[in-house]
Amino acid sequence: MTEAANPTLGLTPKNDEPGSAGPDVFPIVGIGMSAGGLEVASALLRGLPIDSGMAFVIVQHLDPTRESLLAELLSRETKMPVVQVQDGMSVELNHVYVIVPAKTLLIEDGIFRLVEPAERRGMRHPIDKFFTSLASDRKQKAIAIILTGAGSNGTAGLVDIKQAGGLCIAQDPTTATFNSMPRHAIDSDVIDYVLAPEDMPAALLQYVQHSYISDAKPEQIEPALGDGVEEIITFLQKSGIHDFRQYKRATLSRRIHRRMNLCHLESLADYVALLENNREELKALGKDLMINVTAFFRDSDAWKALENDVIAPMVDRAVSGDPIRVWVPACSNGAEAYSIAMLLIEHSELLGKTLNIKIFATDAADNHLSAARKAIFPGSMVEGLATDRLSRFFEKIDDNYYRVRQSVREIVIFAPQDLLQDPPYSRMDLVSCRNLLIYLQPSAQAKVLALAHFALREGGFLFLGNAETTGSHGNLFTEVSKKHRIYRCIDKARRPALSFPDWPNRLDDAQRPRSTSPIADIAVKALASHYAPASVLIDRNYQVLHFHGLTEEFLAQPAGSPTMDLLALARHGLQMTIRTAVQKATSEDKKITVQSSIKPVGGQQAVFVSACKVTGADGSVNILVSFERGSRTNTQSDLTKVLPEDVNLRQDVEEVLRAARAEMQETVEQYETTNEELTAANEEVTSVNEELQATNEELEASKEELQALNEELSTINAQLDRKIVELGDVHDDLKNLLMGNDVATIFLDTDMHIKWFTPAIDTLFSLRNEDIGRPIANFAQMFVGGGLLEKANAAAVDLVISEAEVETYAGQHYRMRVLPYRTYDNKIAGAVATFVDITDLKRHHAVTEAQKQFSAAIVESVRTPLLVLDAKLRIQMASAAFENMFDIEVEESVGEMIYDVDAGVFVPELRVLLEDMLPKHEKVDDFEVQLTTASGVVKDLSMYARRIEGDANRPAAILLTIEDVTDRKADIRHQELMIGELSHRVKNTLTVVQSIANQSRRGSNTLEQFTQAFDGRLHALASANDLVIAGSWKSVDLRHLVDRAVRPFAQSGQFVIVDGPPVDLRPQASLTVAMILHEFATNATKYGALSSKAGTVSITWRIDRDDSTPHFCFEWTESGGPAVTAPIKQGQGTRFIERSVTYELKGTITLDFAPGGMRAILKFPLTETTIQPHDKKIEGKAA
Amino acid sequence: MTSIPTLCGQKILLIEDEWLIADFISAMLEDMECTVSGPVATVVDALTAIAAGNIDCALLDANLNGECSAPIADALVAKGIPFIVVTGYGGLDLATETMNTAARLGKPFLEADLRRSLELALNKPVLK
Repeated sequence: MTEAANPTLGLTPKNDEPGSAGPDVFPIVGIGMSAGGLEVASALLRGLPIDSGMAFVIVQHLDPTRESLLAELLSRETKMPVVQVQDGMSVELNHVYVIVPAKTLLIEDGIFRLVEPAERRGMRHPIDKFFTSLASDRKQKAIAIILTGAGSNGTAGLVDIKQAGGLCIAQDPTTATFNSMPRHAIDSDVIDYVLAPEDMPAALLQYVQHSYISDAKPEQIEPALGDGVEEIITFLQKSGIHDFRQYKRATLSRRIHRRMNLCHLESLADYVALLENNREELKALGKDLMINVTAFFRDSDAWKALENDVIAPMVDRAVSGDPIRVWVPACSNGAEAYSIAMLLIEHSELLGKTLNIKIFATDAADNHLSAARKAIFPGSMVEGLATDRLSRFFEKIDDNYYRVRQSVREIVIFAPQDLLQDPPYSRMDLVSCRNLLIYLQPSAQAKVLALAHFALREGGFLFLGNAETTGSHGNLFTEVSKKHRIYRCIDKARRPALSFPDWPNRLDDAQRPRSTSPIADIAVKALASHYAPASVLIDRNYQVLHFHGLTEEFLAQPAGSPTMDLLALARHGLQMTIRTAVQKATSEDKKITVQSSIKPVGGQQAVFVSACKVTGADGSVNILVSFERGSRTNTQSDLTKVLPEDVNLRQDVEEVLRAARAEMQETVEQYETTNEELTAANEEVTSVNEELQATNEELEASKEELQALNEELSTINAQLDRKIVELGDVHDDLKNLLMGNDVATIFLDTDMHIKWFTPAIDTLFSLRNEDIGRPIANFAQMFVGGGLLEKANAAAVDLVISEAEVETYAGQHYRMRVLPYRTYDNKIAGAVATFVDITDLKRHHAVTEAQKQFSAAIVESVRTPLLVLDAKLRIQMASAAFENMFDIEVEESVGEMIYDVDAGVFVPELRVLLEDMLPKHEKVDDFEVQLTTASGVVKDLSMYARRIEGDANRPAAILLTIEDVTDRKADIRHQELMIGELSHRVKNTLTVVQSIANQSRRGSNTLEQFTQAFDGRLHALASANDLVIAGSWKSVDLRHLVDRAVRPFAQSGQFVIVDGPPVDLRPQASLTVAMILHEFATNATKYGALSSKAGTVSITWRIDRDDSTPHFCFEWTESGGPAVTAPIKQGQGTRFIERSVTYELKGTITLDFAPGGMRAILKFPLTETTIQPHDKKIEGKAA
Repeated sequence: MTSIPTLCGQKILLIEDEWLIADFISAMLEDMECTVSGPVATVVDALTAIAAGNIDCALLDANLNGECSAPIADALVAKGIPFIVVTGYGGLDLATETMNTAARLGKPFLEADLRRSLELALNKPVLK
């Protein structure tokens, strides 16, 4: 530590005083970044070798609620180990460290510290905090880089780095995605290099290899630089940059050395040569050498002490309207001046006093002044202040900056002033000169302290930095607080010798007693000028503090440098008198008058010199010395007579006087010339002032515009903030959506590298998070075909959206959909592929399809017409059988109302069924309807309806089957008819049998006869019935009938049947005919031709159509039997025959009992007894 | 069996298409000392006989050789002549309501059945 070396001032170097890091300490590069930083940091790390000889610490704004992947991502970019910082970890060479979220990272003695951030979120400045601690830990080996990012974080920390002698680099804003952070850093004027990220590694390596960093002991550089430094200082002074002659050489050397590093020069001579040719470097050097740090309430304890011990009493003592004057020399950015202003305002308001506060803040550097006037400070500088102070004295002008309010600004007056060269201010209540002395040579320090003493009024306060003391000027100040370096000005009368070339004499001003009332003042002044003798006020050391009246008679400035020593000023002959009077007055503490004499031009003159002690309000003791011409005779006992001086001196004095007069004449002339010049200058100044006022008005207008603009920008910014929150929410939603569903999704960039994927992808690709960024083509797909890569390319290049079904090797089916990935500004940034698992869907689909086919088959195979209706009774489906029944096309009828089918034949009945019955019942069975179709056919239909309730997947439907029961109904009716008919015939037949029995009984005398007759007739009846049944109760062929009737009596050849035409007899008629034939045969057997073997019977028939109605004519002719005689009494059989023919056949019978054999002719009408050939058809159908 | 005086001389119209049966029933009626009108075998003949009048009661076959005898029943009812449907249909439904509600005698029957039916029909005329 070089500066330890000032025993005079007792300086103790602290952080304020730049030191330097030891040789075994390696440089650490702090990299501050925010939005867009990852990419840039990657580029930066890529360019660095593995053994760069530095350590890198990346501080980024991170979402405090999220785990950071930064370390992981960056480790892919460099071979250096990338580590996430842990508390207590020590920094190692050639490592990259990454901040953890939600912590403030600091570094102390090469050890990382993670602390909970004290500020609320949004007010934290992690980059600033780290840079500040880095500056204090590494001094000149601290390197700070500000990369892309929004806001101003880092700017405040850069100042500390710069102050410590470190290097500040900002990313070239034109290369940054978010240029706000680098831009603010550059605007702050502390940036050494503005570089593109890829140029940074080379700059860093070059910087650390320079002797400024690599040399073991920087302090050894100073002697090495030696005269060169003096040369540069002289050069700077001559160039009008600044006079650094009184600055400490060590600091200057180190800063020059640093500039040499930045210019890549090792030789001082080369650098001097550069300075001579490069004005820019000269300015930059000047700026660097003047760098100074201030902050609001820096060293809060000291400020607390200042507030309590100085400000509070000062304000307390003051009366409203009183001036309070403060001077802050070397004010730098003005923070110190504003701090004092705030304290004064706070206290004056507390006590309700309106004080005339004026704070003069001065600095030699124009850039400092302009910055200080702007009064705009980054949030990191002010957000640590108490909240009420922050809101009371600052207005937020954007997210990162605060401006000191107008009320504070207007009491701080900034002015250019070089403390070491320009005249000082005066009558100050407080001079705050912190952290300036440490940069100055001891002689300059003494001068500054003397200036401060001069500037302060008696009892005024001096506030120094915590490493500074009043040192050898301790007799000018008393300590108020030793610890906090607060001093009070005393012994104002003693003025140290100050020499300023352009220092105007303001002593009268400075020492004019404060007047209490103007009128009293005037009165006192008048009295004093009329009656008071010429006097001077001196301190104990005979230093003149004040002149009153015309003293030139008694006092004269001797040749040589001006002096205020009364004894030197006293005209020849008065010295002894004055000394005697003063000594006596002091020792006796009363007014002493001593007589003396001087020798003016006119002759000797008596002079009375009086001295008396005067005690001031603050207790200081001075002596008033008055001179009176000796016109009066002094008889006072205390009058001491002093012998006149040698009269010979008069001659000399007169000469001196003449010379003085001539000189004065010359001076007066000069003065008049000067006065004229000043008048002209004044006019000029007046006009300039008017111009300035005009300019000022313009500036005011511009300012208002800017404020309006600022307001708008604030609004927009607030909106953007909200948008960011919304975007965050949307992002979360999207992420949850994508993570939460089963849709496997993969995002590919335009190079077909994986950008992102959902966990569900694992059935299709074996991907891990590390695979992001790798080409998808490198991964084996776990499904067959699909052409993902081609489709993705097509989507990214030609915006084609494509779909395909793919099957995994595990047998799962997916619907793959590939579409272009569109960014918010509708650019195509790759492709998105989604895979929806349709395995179940396909299985269900197959099942459904099978069921559908199954039911369609059922519908088709059912012969009953089947209809499916929807809830509005429109046909949805109809079976082929329905088509057949109503002779319509199914396809035409689909969608038609059921009521419209077949021109509405269904309407009335269906309405009953569908609208009345079905809503009440789920099903209706065997609902019978008879209708006549449009083609006129009457149909009996039986309907079955089922109501199927709908659900979400299927609308309600009605199943309707229609069975044509026309034929079945006819069959039933026929059957009933048949049963009736059968009963009728059976019963009739039985009645006939009863009748036959009755008849046979009447014609028989014996049981034997009866039996024979009854059996024969019953047999004939049965035979005839056989034929009736064989003819299905419809018709009986006559030929068969005859055969059967005569068969019981037949002996071969006896019957000759001559065929007649075929005749179909009706059943009733056939029975009658059969019974008649039986009677004929029985009679023939008993009495006729058949009673002998030779007899024959000839049977023949014909149709006789001669009459109006056609007749059937049947002839029975017997021959070859015994001789025939006509019976006397008509027999039972004959009677039956006759009555039957007439009654049942409506015909006639003729019996001719010829001797050769009986001949019978039976005639009856055809119509009622036989079936005509044309009737057959009708009969067949109607039956 | 002694004849019952009530039936004596009653004039019964016999409507029967089959001669053997008509003859047999006529004989029974004559045994019961009834006077047989007819028999007639067709609807036309029956209606003619009814129109001629002088009938106390009628025996009506339901089926006259395939022809329905309902018009005859209607004519009888119109005339207020009691009648008995003589049929082989037994208890089965006949063509008209008039026929169904009329007194019925199922074939075949005994003389006593016929007598009881006639007595009932004659004592209790069919109400229209």
